[in-house]
Amino acid sequence: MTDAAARPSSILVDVELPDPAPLDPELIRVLSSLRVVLLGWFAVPEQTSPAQARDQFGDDAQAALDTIAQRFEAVGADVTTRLVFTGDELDTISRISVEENCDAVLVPAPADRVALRRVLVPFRGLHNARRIAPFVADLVQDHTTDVTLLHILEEGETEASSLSDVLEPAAAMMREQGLDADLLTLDARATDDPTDAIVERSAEYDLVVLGETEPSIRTILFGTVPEQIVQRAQVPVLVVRKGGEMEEGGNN
Amino acid sequence: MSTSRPSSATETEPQELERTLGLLPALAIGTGTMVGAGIFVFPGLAAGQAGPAAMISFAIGAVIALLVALPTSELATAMPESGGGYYFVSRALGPLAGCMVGIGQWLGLVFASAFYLMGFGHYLSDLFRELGVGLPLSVVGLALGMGVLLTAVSITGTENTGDLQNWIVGSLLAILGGFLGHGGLDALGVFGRQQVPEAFFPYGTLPVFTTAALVFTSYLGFVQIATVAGEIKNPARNLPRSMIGSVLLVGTLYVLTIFIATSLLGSEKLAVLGETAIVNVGRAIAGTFGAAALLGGGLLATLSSANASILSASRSIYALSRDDLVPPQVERINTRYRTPHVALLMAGGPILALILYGRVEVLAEVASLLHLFMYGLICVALLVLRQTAPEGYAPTFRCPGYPVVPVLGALSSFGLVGFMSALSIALGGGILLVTAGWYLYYARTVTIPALPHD
Repeated sequence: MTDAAARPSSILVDVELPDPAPLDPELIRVLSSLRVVLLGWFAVPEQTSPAQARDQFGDDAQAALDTIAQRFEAVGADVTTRLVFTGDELDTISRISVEENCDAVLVPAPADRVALRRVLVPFRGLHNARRIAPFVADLVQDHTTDVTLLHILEEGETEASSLSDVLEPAAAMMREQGLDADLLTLDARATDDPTDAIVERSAEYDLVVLGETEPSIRTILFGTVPEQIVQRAQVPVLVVRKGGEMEEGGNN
Repeated sequence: MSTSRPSSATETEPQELERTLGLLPALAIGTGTMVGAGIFVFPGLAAGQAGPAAMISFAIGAVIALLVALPTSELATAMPESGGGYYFVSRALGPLAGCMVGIGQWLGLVFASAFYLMGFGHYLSDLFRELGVGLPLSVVGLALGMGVLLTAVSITGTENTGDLQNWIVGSLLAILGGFLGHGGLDALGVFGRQQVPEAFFPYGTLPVFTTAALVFTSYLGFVQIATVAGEIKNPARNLPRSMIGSVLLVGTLYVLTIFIATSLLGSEKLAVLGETAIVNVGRAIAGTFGAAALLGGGLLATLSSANASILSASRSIYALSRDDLVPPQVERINTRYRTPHVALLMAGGPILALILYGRVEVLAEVASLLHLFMYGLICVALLVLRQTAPEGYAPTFRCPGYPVVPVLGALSSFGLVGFMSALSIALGGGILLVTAGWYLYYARTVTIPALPHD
């Protein structure tokens, strides 16, 4: 964890065992530039002791997980595997993402992609962009992927002010991280419903990179914006985690 | 299982087990298993035997449970593994004691579950009577039906009912809070009600102890928390808190319940009303609404206690099987539902047979006896482990008042058995002899693994 700065950004990929949903080879290829934390979880009902399930299904589950890990390794990814027998996979995913210090979590899409060439990066203010930028740069190291920065205008902002105050500085941040300038597209949008706008836009892209947001009233009432986008988007979504919650998790 | 890596005790790639239960779910397991009996089945029976002094019987039970909960807490934080009492006793006292406690724990839970289901049958039959519906089934028939249903659901149900259990316990506590709050003031004469005048010890002092032995079934739940110790988050903190906390909580509720019930209705009337006497106490406090609330509460509480006991019994069988004290087939999990169907059937089947037998007091006492045997040996296990201090024994919670607490815990656990009916002692003792026989027949060559340590 101490050498995190020297290593590429990391992504948590979770798969259900022993019969994982198929992972798109193209997605595996794109993620291979990152440090991949491959979490296999085996769901155990409450009637069953997780230890009992491990006794019986441990070997099968491990073999299934190793097979997936090999697919990542075959395209050059640095893979860490974790295998957990759990009564609550959401608990497990969030615990492992903290323990492994993952920068982002993959939410796969229902359908396969032919190719991953266009990435949509919607974000809210600059502080949001600051967390996403290094991750996006690590993700598109092959220098062939188009990246669109999408800024949804907030009240009082105009397209011009968005471009000068938010999008341009964010683009500069991305370039500093090594992103090709000519692959970057900047886009500012005014809309009443950011979620709708992002979901609609995502249809033209192969992948969405999204920052985890701070709680807001909307979050409390309707679930988080990322959550809604993740549920409705038809493309894979990488949710970049908030930093500074290392001490959380674990306890109760 | 086929051609993959060989599995050994020291795995190079550890396959982790998620701990998913926090403090509240752990408390709900303990409270949910216990509260079904103490409040919703026993008040009538206990008051009939000991009068208002049944309060003391429940208090005695609480003290004994606490004397055992403290040593159990230390052992559970030292060995936060699934298996509970069996695990501690087998590690400290070897395979014979382990075998007796483990099989005793399984059968004790089977007796307890049959007892709870009989309670459920009484409540359901009461409900039909209140609604004026002609009843096609007897109490035993209703209990049998629910026993079959619970076993089937536990094998095929894939929805986790953990949240449901929390809700059930929450609503039970809300119902009881209202009942005890209002009823308590009423019983003290705040609303101008006359107490039923009655001697505190109408039947003398000996029934206080025999009643304590009978109602001890109301305190079997806290050890079930240790049965799932491997699944509890932050076990160093949550295990002692949930075990001790649930005993204190239900103990207080029981004593208050008896106080209110005997004050408002008098013990003779309670005795006539039997298993569902508390419903009439509810009616005395708040009319039809009170009766309905407690009737609903009784249905929920007895059902959740029965269900929790079936699941714990299955876990006890697994713990025995992992140490080779019973054949390995019993721990098979079916791939479709991922539930241990053999172990669950080994819980559900005998429960049905016991319901057919159907004598509530005997079921309760044998359940208590088998548990008290384990409780006593848990205390002995603590004494042995403290003296021998084997490598790997590093509890994070230390039992206060050592060695007085575990010595008293063991003596009172074994002593309470002496106040049970001769039939219960014969049945329970016979079962323990059979478990010892099983050890000699099947498991004499088994060695229990040492405590894991670095």
